[in-house]
Order: sequence, then C-alpha cells, then structure tokens
Amino acid sequence: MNAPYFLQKNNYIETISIDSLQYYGERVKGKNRNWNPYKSKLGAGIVKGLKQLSLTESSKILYLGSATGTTISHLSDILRQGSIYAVDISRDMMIKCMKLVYLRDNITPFLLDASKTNFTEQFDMLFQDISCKEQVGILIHNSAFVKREGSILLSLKTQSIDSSRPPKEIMKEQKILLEKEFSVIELINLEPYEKHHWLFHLKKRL
Amino acid sequence: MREKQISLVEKEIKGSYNLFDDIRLAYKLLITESKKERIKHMLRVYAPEELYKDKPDLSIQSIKKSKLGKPYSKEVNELINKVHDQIFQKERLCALIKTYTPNLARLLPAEIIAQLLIKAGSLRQLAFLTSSKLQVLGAEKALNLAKQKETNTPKHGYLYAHPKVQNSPEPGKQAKKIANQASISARIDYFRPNEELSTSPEGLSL
Repeated sequence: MNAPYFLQKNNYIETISIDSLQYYGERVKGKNRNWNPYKSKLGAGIVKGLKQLSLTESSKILYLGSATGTTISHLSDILRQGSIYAVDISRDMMIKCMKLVYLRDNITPFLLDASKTNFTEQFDMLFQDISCKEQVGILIHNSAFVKREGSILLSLKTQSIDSSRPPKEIMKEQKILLEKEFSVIELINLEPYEKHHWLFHLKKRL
Repeated sequence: MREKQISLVEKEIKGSYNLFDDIRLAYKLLITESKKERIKHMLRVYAPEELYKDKPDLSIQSIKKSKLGKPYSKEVNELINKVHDQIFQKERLCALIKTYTPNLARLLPAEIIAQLLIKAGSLRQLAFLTSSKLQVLGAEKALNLAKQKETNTPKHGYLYAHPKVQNSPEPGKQAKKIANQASISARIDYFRPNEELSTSPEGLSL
C-alpha cells in the first residue's frame, strides 16, 4: 500500500501519529503506533499483500461499520488534511468511538443504518465491514457516493450469510454478484488473522 | 458542518435511552460483587465520558455535565446513595419489570425475566422467539455441543432457576410447560393494544 506516514517491514506495520496516543492497547514507541492485524481487517489485508491501494494526505473516506474505531484511529493518522465519515448503527459502539472523535478533528460520526445513507459528497475510498446477510446489497447502494476512479473495499464475512455451507462456495456466489457491478482488482484471504473472511478490492466499471 | 453533526449525534444518543437500559443496569448491579465494577456499570449509563479518564468519578455534577449519558432526573440522587444496597436493587428490578412486562412478571421471577431479556436483546426479539428456543435460552454451550456430537439436547437454560422446575420430579416437562406459557405472555406484552392493560394489576388472563 502507498500512503504517507505509513511504514511496513514484512508482517510489521505502523503509522505515525501527531500525538503519541495509545487507543486500544497497541504498542507505541515515540510517535510510531503499531497496527495490529488481528484486530483490524484492513490491517490484515495489508499484511497479506494489498498492493494496488494508494492513499494521499488529503483523500476522503466513507467508512461503514466503524464500531469502536480501531481501524479509524490509524486512518486518521494517515489522512492529516483529509476526512473520514464514520457510520455505525449501534449506540453503545458509537459512545466508545466518541472518545476518538473528540481527540481528532478529521473524523465525523454518523449514527445511521448503512442501507439508508444519503450523502451529497463524493468520496475517494469506501470501506465496508458489516456482518449482516445483505452485505453486497449495502455495498452496491453506497457505491453511488464514490468517485469514478475511487477504490472500494469490502470485507466479506461468509458466516453471516450462511453458516451451514462451506465458506468458499458462498464467496464464489457473492463474487459473481459483485462482478455484475464492479471489476475485481484484488482478492485476499485473511486466513491466519480472521476466520472465514475475504477482502475484495473493487473498482467501478467504466 | 462537523460540529453540527457531532451535536446531532450527541442528541440522538441522549434521546435513545429507554426502560430496557434501566432493567439491564439494575440486573447488573444486583449480580456484580466488586464495588469498582458496580460504579463502572452506573457510569456506562449516566456518564460514559468519565470512563475515558484514568480516575472515573461518580457524582451528580458529572452526570449533569455529561453529553452522552442518560438525562438527569431526581431518581438518580437516591440511586447513587444506594448503589451498594442489594435489597433496594432487587426491589427496583421487580418494580421495573412489572411496568415493562406485566404479564410475564406474573409467571416468572424478575431475575429470570431480566436474564431472558438481556440474552434475547430486546422485548421484540424475545416475543418473536419460538417457545422451544426460549426453553433452552442460556444453555447455548450445551446445545452446540449436543448438535456437534449428535447427543440429547438440553432441557432447560435460565428456566432451571424457577422454583416450579426445581421441585418437580420431571423438570424437563415442567420447563417445557413454562416456556410455552412464557412465549405467549411475552407476545401479549409486546403487542399490547393500549396503556390500560399495562397498568392494570391483574394483567391479561391467559
């Protein structure tokens, strides 16, 4: 991955923050914060070899399913002049996330259902991490807010679609649905870090 | 625009507290033993920002100041004074359950109803459960083991604490009987047509 304020050495990744803040019990040395791939699906994808994604200092991100804000805390290190829109439906998760919102000025919270969003802005990147049955439907609805050449990332949890069938079979079914709307650039299995999860890197069909 | 959005989210969080949160808090105060944990449970509802700090402080001033907690009312004064009083907590839980689920309260002890509600997630989700699922609620570990090994499934979960179940020679059959009645009365409580039924001391006759 190409990004400012981001370092990678094999399986060890870290971001450089403004304030040396310890948010979720990660290792902090000076201003370098370790990005734990066991707690973040985007982090796991980068360790497993997500290469073609590139972020700049001033890009805009729409993040669906922000929860307590572990991944967002690292993204807000990278995007110093950009902004992140954090969407989540759960009130209890949002209360924990508000600690980060008060500390960093590039995060905006939204207490919304991700399938009923409506933004007037256009984003450079969309990341979705929602564990529900209509994951692909929500992604297609929200892809209307992404720029033409923007990248779309989906972490697919097969267990919440069907837990009785083999996960690889479900992934192939969902991939066919996705290929109608998008072109798949990268497909990564997050196996040692996350069970039954795949990370899709997609772009809009022109 | 960002500050406007933050204040809107704060307003939404403040308005979303309901009776179910009170029941969950009252039950947790009843079962936790350590005094530190009890204060943390109180703060989680009334002043969540205090938990961000190193030394959280439970006082009326911090509750009045809080932006994310439940709005201040006169009951809070008494509640703070009697946080460690177990008898008071049990009476409060019984009173709350009677107003929230009047029909279910005639059938089961208040503690069991609180356990069922917390496990199911809400009254709506409890009302939509099948009675056979309600019977084994709380015995998930035994149920999943039995499904894997294809042995006999458990007969009772939280309902095992009911005095009728414990005193009968056939506890499994008694638990099934109570679960059937409980699922009907949970549905009556959820689909109450008007407020008169909820305030009447007798409830609906089954």
